[in-house]
Amino acid sequence: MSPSSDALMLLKPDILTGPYATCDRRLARDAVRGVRAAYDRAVPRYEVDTSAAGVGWGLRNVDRKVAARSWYTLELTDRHGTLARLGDLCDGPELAGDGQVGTGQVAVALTGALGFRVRSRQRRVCTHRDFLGLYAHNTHFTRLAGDLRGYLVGQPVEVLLLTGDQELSSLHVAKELLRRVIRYPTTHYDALENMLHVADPGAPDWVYFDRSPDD
Amino acid sequence: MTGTVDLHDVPDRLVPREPRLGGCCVPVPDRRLTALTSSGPVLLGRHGGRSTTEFTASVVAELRHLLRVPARYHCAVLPTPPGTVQRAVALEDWAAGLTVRGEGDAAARWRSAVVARQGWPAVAARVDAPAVEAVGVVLRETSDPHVPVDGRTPDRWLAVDLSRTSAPLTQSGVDRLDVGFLCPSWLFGVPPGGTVLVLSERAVAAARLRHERLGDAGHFLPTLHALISTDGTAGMTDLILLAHAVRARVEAEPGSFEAAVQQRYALVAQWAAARAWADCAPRQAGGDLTAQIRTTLDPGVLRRIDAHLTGHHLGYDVVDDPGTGCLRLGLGDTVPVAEIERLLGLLDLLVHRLTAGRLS
Repeated sequence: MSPSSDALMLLKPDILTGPYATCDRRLARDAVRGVRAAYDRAVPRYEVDTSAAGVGWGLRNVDRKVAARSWYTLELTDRHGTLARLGDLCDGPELAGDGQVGTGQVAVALTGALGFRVRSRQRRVCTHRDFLGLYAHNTHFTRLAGDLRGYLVGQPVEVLLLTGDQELSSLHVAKELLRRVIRYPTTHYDALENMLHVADPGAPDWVYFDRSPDD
Repeated sequence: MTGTVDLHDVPDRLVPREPRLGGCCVPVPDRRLTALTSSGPVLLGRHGGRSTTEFTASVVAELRHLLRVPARYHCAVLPTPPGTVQRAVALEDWAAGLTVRGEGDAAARWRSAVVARQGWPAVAARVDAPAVEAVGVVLRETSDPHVPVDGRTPDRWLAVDLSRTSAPLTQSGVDRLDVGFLCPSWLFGVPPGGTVLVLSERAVAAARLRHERLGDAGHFLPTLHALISTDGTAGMTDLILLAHAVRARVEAEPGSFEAAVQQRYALVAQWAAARAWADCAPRQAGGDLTAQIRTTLDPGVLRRIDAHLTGHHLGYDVVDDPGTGCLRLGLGDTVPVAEIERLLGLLDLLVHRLTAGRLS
């Protein structure tokens, strides 16, 4: 069974509520700079002093996944145009100025800059079935009954089905950099509260949310 | 051509939150695990010492009280599964001609152990053994209502595997047995792997004599004597979990455990009675702690049900064996009733979808 969308992204509870639901606009811009750096390997001037280290952790993880997974690539469809759009997002009005911006808004804006369009966006309370649909097949089952369930079940999530002619990996790269720069800028610690989920190619969780009504 | 079913076809209200609902699973409640943090700090990590010795003795004492073990009987919590006790019994002098009653896998394994003994002359030989009748019973696998009520006699030695039954709490005491043993998981909601062993006075004496007469070989054979004298007790983690579970049973209303099991069995039996493709077997004489549902389902359908339940972590070990056509559900009081209700509803949906509506 194949999904009807080109990508699945899930906004998890900690990007929708709590202290990380919004972030400093300077951090948001740094996160976009980090995504661009994953592709052009330039070293931009970051606005927040933790961002360089956060991007460093992120790039290390990205490179490790490129080496380990056949489908994970740093190729881009329309590389020139995509990098230009990332630059526009960083310098444009959506993230301009001081103060706070919604972290979920930053994530969705990044998907747009990469070339994806939101086909559907649904906010729902994560049910036990949703939880199993998301993780029954892609995490060690010992985590299913514990902290991961507490993190998700009964909490708000947003399910985004995306379309677009772009490498799926680009969303994984964006996810990685967003996590590192905004959520965990000072550590490589990979906590389960990690804001975003992007489905792997052909993953059961993608098919599940592609087909699953909110009940 | 049968239909298909995937997780997104299942309403959330039918998704079990507790997957340990099948016949080979017992949910260990959260409060048991909490016990490790409340009792563990003074015990875990210590090698011997007075406090651990006293704690172990207190666990056994409370267990003896709960199971009504006579003072002259030996009682121990072993760090090995019940199969080890079955094999040890088969090595005893009095068990040379052991007749094992039971129609299931455990009884078959026990019979194999008795046969294996014959292949080792030094062990097979009986030394001054009294001419006695020796009977082994796997209670959950026998439908004989007189076992073990008729009990031991001077001429009959009786060893009973009480695992997965409520008999230790509900039936006449272990004082009618020479060897009684059980996996505590089923009765107490603790992890499997250990065995509660009770030996009559004469079984202890015979085990000691057997051990001595085996000479050097006795040091290398897992005899009953070796199990109770040299192989030690269960690990401290298991003992802490068991201690709290036994205490909860002692403090509970008498009969509440069996009432909880009956409630769950009635729910399953009523559900099965309303379905032409399912039939719930009567509970065995010893009070089986699982419900066996015989079905007329095609083995292929059962395999797909098994794959669905296991693959999505919805229910482990519910399909007993696709070849036998049986489903098996846990009935112990650590299995929440609401979870059984969810699972039964889910089974309805799966059968309906996988048989393309022919059965529902």
